[in-house]
Parts: sequence; structure tokens; C-alpha cells
Amino acid sequence: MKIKTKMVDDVAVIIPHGKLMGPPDTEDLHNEVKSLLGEGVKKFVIDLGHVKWMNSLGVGALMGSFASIKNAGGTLKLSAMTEKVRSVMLIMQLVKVFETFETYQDAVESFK
Amino acid sequence: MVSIPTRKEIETLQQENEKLRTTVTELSVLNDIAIAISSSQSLDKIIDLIVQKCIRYFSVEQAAVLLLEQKDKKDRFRTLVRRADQSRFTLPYRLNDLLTGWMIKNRKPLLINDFENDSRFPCPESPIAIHSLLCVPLMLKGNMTGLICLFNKKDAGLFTEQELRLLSIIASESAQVIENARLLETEKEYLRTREELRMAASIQRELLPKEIPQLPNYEMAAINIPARTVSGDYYDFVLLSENQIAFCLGDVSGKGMPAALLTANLQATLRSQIFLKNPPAKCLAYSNTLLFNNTSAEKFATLFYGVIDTADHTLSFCNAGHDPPYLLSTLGRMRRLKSGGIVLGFLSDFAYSEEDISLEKGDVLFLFSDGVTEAMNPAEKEFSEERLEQVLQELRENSAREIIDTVLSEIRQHMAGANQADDITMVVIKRIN
Repeated sequence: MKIKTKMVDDVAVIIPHGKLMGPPDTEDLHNEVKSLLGEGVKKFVIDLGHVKWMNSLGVGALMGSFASIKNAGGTLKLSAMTEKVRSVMLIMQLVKVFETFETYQDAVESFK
Repeated sequence: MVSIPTRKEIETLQQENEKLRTTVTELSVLNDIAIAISSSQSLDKIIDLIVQKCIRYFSVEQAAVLLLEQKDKKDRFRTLVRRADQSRFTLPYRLNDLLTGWMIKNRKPLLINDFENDSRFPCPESPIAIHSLLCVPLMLKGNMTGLICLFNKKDAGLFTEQELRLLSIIASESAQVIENARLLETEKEYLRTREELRMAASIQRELLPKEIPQLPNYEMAAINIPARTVSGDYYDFVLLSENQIAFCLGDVSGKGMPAALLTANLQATLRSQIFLKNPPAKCLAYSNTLLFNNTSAEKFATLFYGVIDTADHTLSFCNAGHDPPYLLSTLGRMRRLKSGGIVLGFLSDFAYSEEDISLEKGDVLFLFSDGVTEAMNPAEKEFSEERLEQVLQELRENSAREIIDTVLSEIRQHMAGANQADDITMVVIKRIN
């Protein structure tokens, strides 16, 4: 899995590519978040548009990232969930906790 | 007639003699070490023997064998010193690092007789004075597996090229023996782990209900097939009174041992709540907080928990982010049981909701884990909810046990020999009267 990160103003947009189904990919994602937090970033968007499939460990990585960001006083939003990922998030009722957007541009805009 | 050798010839002969003597000494040293280290299978003993023999034969103050362990396959420099002979002295941390780094980079013998002035190894803080040093890599099939290092030739002596050659031969002889001992250790460790895993699996099987309680007018059946030795799924049945039964099916994030440990924790947590006879939503709210406090943020569990009262045939349930179970009625209806809330262990505090429904004669409750719907065939096509629903529609009239057996055989047929990637768990409860 590849993780691309770009800064749009003061918002970090993290875009994982591939499957989010356990280590090392899930750890890489959480580590990316932690390293950005270390640089002082507070606003995050994880764009899931290129995540083909995600299992419970993938969801766990999102939850771990959410907790790390929240503990640092930051905010995490999600964007571009595929139908498969959305259905997992719906079943787990995580859509009640994660703010989600159609595109990462929408998510970035919502921070303004 | 015997010719009298000239002075030059005598000198040459003496030199040859000296060479021969050295070679014989070298060979006996090598032979001695070879015999010694091949007499043991213990890695510690072998390393200790090499160190002791080297100190004696090379007449040095200290010797050390460092073994390297490659932590990261992609980055061969991220290598750690796994073991050093510490019986006599400890290498200063920084020197240890510098020396290992130099050897990994250069992979060739190193001979220094003027250590204090060697700019490659600046160690001002060194607690032991090092004057001379001889170091050779342990090489195996082109990989560096460790190094042998000698420090301080006694009586202010100097290391020679000949000694460097001898130590190199010792290193090349030892490398394979050390590797064999290391492999043997790894194998023992593996066998120990496998035994522990086997025991964990047996403990876990004991945690599942040995017998499913039987209540009048109801049939109950359950199955749990772990994908690996241990499972991240579990189910439970607890009789609360003569006409009340609590049951659940949960799935902990992840697989294998970490998931199994968390499963045991979840079960203990939930059982402590179940026996308090709190309503399902309260039960899961408390369990959620307890689990949140006991786990890191990325660990969670999905769980369906219900209580059936056989006196008035009501089901009270709370679904914490689990794949919604099916309720099949004899009239052909099929509904999913979703009321509840978020997965357990993610938020410290969550207000779960619950729902009460009445069970009619012939109603079938089908609980399952995602290992059922996500079971894949060799072409990575999932069994799917659609297929599960089709199968269930056909099974309304069957007994609880038949429903489980048939669904399982349908899944197996779909998988067509493909590896089971996730734990498969099912619970079926049917009101028969």
C-alpha cells in the first residue's frame, strides 16, 4: 500500500492506496498521522477513495488515528468512502462518530 | 658425500622451519576450536568457547562475538546486536555501534594497532582504554551474520597480518556452526510457541459453552470454526432464570492470538454484566466502557446481545456495530436486527439503545460473523449476504441444527477448497412452539 499526503493550507490530506487490511499498512497509516501530529498538524482528512478493501484492522487504524488526533486536540474527517467501506462503517455505526464527505475538497472546505 | 650447508641455506631452512611451526600451531588452534565448538549445540556455549579460545591463542585482553539480527528486511543497516559475550567486559555503547556500523558497511577484516589515534572510531568517553583491535566479519552465503572482535594485544604487542588471516579462518569456520545453533534455537522457540498456541486454543474452546442450554419451546444451535488455531469470534449462552436466556455473538478486531486474548477479555467483561441482569443496552454500555479502558484505540469488538423470555416470547436485544442478525418469520418476512449503537471499545461512553420484539411460533433468529458472508472462493468472490439470504429463505422449516449445517455446507461449497480467511461463527435460535 502507498500513502500519499498533501497539505491543503493547514489541512493534511492523507490518501492511502490499495488494501487496508492489517500490518504493515494499517500501522503505516497510523504512523503517518502520528508523525504529522508531531509536526503540529491539527486538521486531518483521510481520503478513502483509493482504498479497495478494508477489514476490521483497517477500521481499527482509522479509529486509532481518530483517537490520536482527538487526544492532540485535532480533528479527523473522512472522504470518498467506497460503497464497500461505507457499508462496513454503517454496520459498525461509526458514521455516527466520523464526519464524512463526498470528496476531500469538500472535507477541506468544511474546516474553513 | 654430504655437503655442508651454507649460512644462507641454514637461514632459509630456519625460516621454513619457523613457517612450518607457525602453520602447525595455526592448524592445531583451528582444529582445537573446530572440535570445541562442534561439541556443543548451545549458542551461548559456542560463543563462549570461541571467546575463551581466542583470548588464549591470540594473547589478548578481551574478545567478543557479536551476532546481528536483521530487524528490517528492506533496510540491512537497521541491524541490532543480538548477543555479545559480556562475561568479561562491556563494550562501550558508542564503540559497539561504530564498530558494528563499520563492519556492516565494509564487510572486511579490520586491524588497528594505534586505536587512540584512529579518527574512524572517536570514543573519548570510553571507560576502557583500547590500544589495538582486530575484528573480522562472520559471513554466511554473502550475508554478514556477526563479527568476532579482539581487543588489546597483551604486553603492548601488535596484531599481525598473519593473526588477521587466522582469525578470518576461525570466523569462516564458526559462521556455519553459529548459524546452525541459532536455527536450532529458533526452531525450539517455534515449537514452544506452537505448543503455547495449541494450549491457548484448548483454553479458548473451554470458554465456549460446552452445552447449549435447552429451553422448552425453543431450539438452539451454534458453531465456531476458527480460521487459525485460535479465534477472534465467540458466542455465549447464559441461563438467567428458568425462563430467561441471554445469548450473544461477538467479533473482535484482528485475528489470531491478539484477537483471541481480547475475546477472552470481552467474554469475561460481558459475563460480569450479564449476571447483573441489567437490560441489554445498559449491559453493553458498561461493557463498552470497561473494554475502552482495557484496550488501545484501534482495538474494538462488534457484538450482538439478546435476552429471550420464554414465558412471554419476547426478545430484548442491543446490537453494538455487529452484522445485523436475521429474523425469519414463517410468513416469509425477513428483517435485520440493528438497534443498538457503535462498536464496543472505541468511545469511553456511549448511550446504546435496545429494542423489544415478540417471537412468533416458527420464527428463526440467525446470528453470524462476517466470516460467513465474506468467505471467499479461489477467485476471491465472497459468499455474500445475498447468497446467505437465499439459503436462509429455503431453511425456514428446518431445525436450528439443520440450518447451521446447511449454511455451513453452502459456504464450504462456495469456498471450493479456498483457504478460510476469517473465523466462521453462527448461532441459530428457533421458536418451535
